[in-house]
Amino acid sequence: MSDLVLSAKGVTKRFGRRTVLDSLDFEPAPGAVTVLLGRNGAGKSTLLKLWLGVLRPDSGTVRVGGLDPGRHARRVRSLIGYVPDRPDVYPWMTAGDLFRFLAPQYPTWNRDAQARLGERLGVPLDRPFRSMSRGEGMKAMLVAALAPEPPILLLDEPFAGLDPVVREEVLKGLLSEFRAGEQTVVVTTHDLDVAARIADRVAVLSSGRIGEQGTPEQPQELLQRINAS
Amino acid sequence: MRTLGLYLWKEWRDQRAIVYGIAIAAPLLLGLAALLLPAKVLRDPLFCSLGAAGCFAMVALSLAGDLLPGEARRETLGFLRRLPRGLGVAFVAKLVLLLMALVLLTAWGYLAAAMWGGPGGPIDHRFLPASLVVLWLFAVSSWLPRGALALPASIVVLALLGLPLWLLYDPAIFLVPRPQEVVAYVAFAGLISLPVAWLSFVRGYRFGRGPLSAAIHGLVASLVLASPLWAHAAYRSREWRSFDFESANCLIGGGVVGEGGRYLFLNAQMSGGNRPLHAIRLDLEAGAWQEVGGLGDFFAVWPYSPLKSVLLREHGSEQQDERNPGRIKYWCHTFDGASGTRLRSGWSNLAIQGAPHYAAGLGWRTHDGIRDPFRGRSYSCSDLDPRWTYFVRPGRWLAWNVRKLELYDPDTRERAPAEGINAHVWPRLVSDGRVLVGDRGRDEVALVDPESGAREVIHRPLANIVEVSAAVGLYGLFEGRRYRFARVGTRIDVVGDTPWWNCTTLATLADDSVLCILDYRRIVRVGADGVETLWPAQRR
Repeated sequence: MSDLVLSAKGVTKRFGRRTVLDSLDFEPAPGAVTVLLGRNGAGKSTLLKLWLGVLRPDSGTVRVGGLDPGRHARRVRSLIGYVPDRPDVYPWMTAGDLFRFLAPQYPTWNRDAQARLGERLGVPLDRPFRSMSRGEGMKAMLVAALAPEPPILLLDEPFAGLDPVVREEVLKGLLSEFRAGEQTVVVTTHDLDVAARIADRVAVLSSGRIGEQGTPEQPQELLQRINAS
Repeated sequence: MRTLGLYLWKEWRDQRAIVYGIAIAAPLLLGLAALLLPAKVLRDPLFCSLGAAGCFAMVALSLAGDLLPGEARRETLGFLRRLPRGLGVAFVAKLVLLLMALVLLTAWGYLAAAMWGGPGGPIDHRFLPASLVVLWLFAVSSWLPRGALALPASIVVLALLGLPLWLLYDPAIFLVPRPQEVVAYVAFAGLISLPVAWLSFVRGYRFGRGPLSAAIHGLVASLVLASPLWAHAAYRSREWRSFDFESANCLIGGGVVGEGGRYLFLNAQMSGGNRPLHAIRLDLEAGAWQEVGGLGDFFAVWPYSPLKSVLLREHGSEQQDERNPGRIKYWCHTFDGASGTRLRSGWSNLAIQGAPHYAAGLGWRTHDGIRDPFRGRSYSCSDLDPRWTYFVRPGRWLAWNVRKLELYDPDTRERAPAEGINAHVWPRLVSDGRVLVGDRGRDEVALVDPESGAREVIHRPLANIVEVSAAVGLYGLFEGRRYRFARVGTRIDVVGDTPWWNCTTLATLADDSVLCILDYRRIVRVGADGVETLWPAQRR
C-alpha cells in the first residue's frame, strides 16, 4: 500500500524567475485515478516530473512510496509508469525495439500484458517511431508504461492531439488495464470529458497550487470556480 | 552487464550510420589518394599512419563531439533521464562505443592504407596526445549545445589545465618535465577526462538541467581532479629552485677569490639533474654566506688570481653587442673583490664565451688575453689562434689542441714540434718550464724539457698527476686510492694527505698557497704547512 502513496508538501519550483509551483501541498488518493486539471503552463507536467525524479523542487518535499525521488531515483522510477505528452524515444526505434530495450530494466515487466495490450491497441511492432502516426506512437508509449504493471502511473496529457477514434481506443486500453485499489494514477489533461470518464478524484492546479479538489461529477464547476477566483 | 549490453545496442543503432560511413569512406579516400600520390609516398610507412590518423580524426570529429550533446539535440534526453538506470549506464555505453570505434576504425584506416600503399610502420607516437584531445572533446561536448564547438572548447580547456604547468616549469633554468613525467601528465590528464565527462553528463544533466550545469560540474571537477597534477609540478618547481649552501647535496662548481682572500664568489648548485646555478658570496672570516643573484646567475670565472672586481653575469641577459659585432654582451653586476659589496650594474662583453685560451700555464689570463711574466708583456686574444690552448713558460710557449703539442713563439708566431711528450695529454708545467709526464710503460713519473726532449725521472712507481696550480708547482697525486697534494719541482714533495677525488682550483694567493674546491664541496687552502679546510666551517 505504501508504494501507492504520492505526496508533495510545500513544494516550490521555479524556472528562472517564473514560479510554477508555489508551496504546493498535494497527495493524490492512493489506489485511485486522479485527474489534474489546469491551464497550459500551470505546472501539471512539472509536478509529474518532480515525482518521477527528473526535476527537483527548489523547496518542499516530494515522496513516492515514502521515498525521495532525487535520492532513490532508481527505485522510484521502477515504481512508476510514465507516458509523456508525445513520444520522445529514438525515431529509428520500433515499438518492438522499445519493449526489448525497456523490459530488462523493469523487474516486473509482464510480456503477456505487453502482448495483450499491444494487440488490443493495434500497436505496430515493426514500424519505427518516425513513421508512426502520433496516435500509434502514444499507444506504444502507453503499452511501455503499463507493461511493467507499476503501482503508480503518471500520464502527462496522453490524449492531447489524438483524433477522437484513437483517443477512445487509448482510453479504453487504459481503463481495461487499470487495477482499482492497486494502482495510483495521476492524469493531466485539459479534456473535461476524459476527466469525467476516468477520474475518481479531480484536482485543479492554479497559480502554482491545488486550488480545488472534488469528484469527477464536478470538473466543470471546479474550473468555473477557479476561473472566477 | 545485460543492461549495459542493451544500452550499447542502443548506441550502436544510434551511431552505426556514422561508423559505416567512415568504414566505407576510408578505403575509398585512401584509394583516391593512392591514384594521385607518387609511388614513393605510398611506400613510405608514414602513409599507413596517415590512413590511421585520418580515421582517428573522423571518429573524433563525428562521434566524440556529438555522442553526449546529441541526446539533447534530438530531444531524447528526457527518455533516458526517466529510465530506472538514469544517465549513468547510457554514459558508459557511449564511452565504450567511442573507444571501440576509435580503436577499430583507426586500425581499419591503417589496414586500408597498407592495402593501397606499402608496408606499414609503427603507429606514430603523437596518437597519445591526440587521444588526450579526443577524450577531452568527449568530456567538454556535454557543456555545449552543439557538438561542433566541442573541439575548440576542449583545446581551450586543455590549455587552461596546462597553463599552471607552463607557468611552473621553466626551460630557462632547465626545469622541464622528465619524459616519464610527460607521459604521466598526458595519461593523468586523459584519465581525469573520464570522471569529468561522467560528472558533466550524468550529474550535470540531472533534474532537467542543461549544458550550463554540465559545464559548471565539469569545470569544478576538472579543477579538483587536475590539482594533483599541478601540485606535483609545483612540488617539482619548488624542489628545483630550493637551495641550501650548507647542505651536503650542494655542489660548488667553481668561483673566484676576491682581492685579499676574504671573500669567495662561488657558483653552486644542488645535486640531481641539471639544477640551476646560484651565485654565492662566502665570507671566510665570518663563515657566512649569502646568495647575491637570481636563479641561474653566475660569476665569470677567471682563474687563478684574486680579483679586484668580480663580475656576476645575469642569467638570460645575453644580447648581441652592437658596438662589437660578433660578440655577445651580458648584463652584469660588479662586486668589489676585497669588501664583497656590490658596486654597479651594466652591460659587459668580457665574459668568456667558449674562450679558447683557457689555460695560461705559468702566465696569467687577463680579460682579453694572456700575460707572459717572462717576456714582460701581454698578448691579445685576437692575435692567438682560438683552436689552440696556450701554456706560458720560460722561452717558447706550448700550444696544444688535443692531437698536437707544439712549441710556439708568441712574438714570431712560429711553431716547432715539442719533443718526448704525449700530445694527447693536457701538458702539466712545472716552474722551470719542463713538462710533467707519467710513463705507463716504464712505470714512472718524469720531467721532460719540450725544447730538447731531455728527461729526468722523479718518481716511481707511476702516479696519476693533475694540475692544481702550475704557477707554484702544486699538483694532485693519485696513487691507487690515495689522493694527495704535492709540490713538484725536481722531485715530488707531498704537502697534504687528505682524501678527495676531484679538485677545482680557485686561485693561487700571494703567499704561494692555493685555494681549491675538493669534491665540489669542501674549500681548502693548500700551503707549505699543509691543507686547511675553510668551508664547511669546522664545528667548534
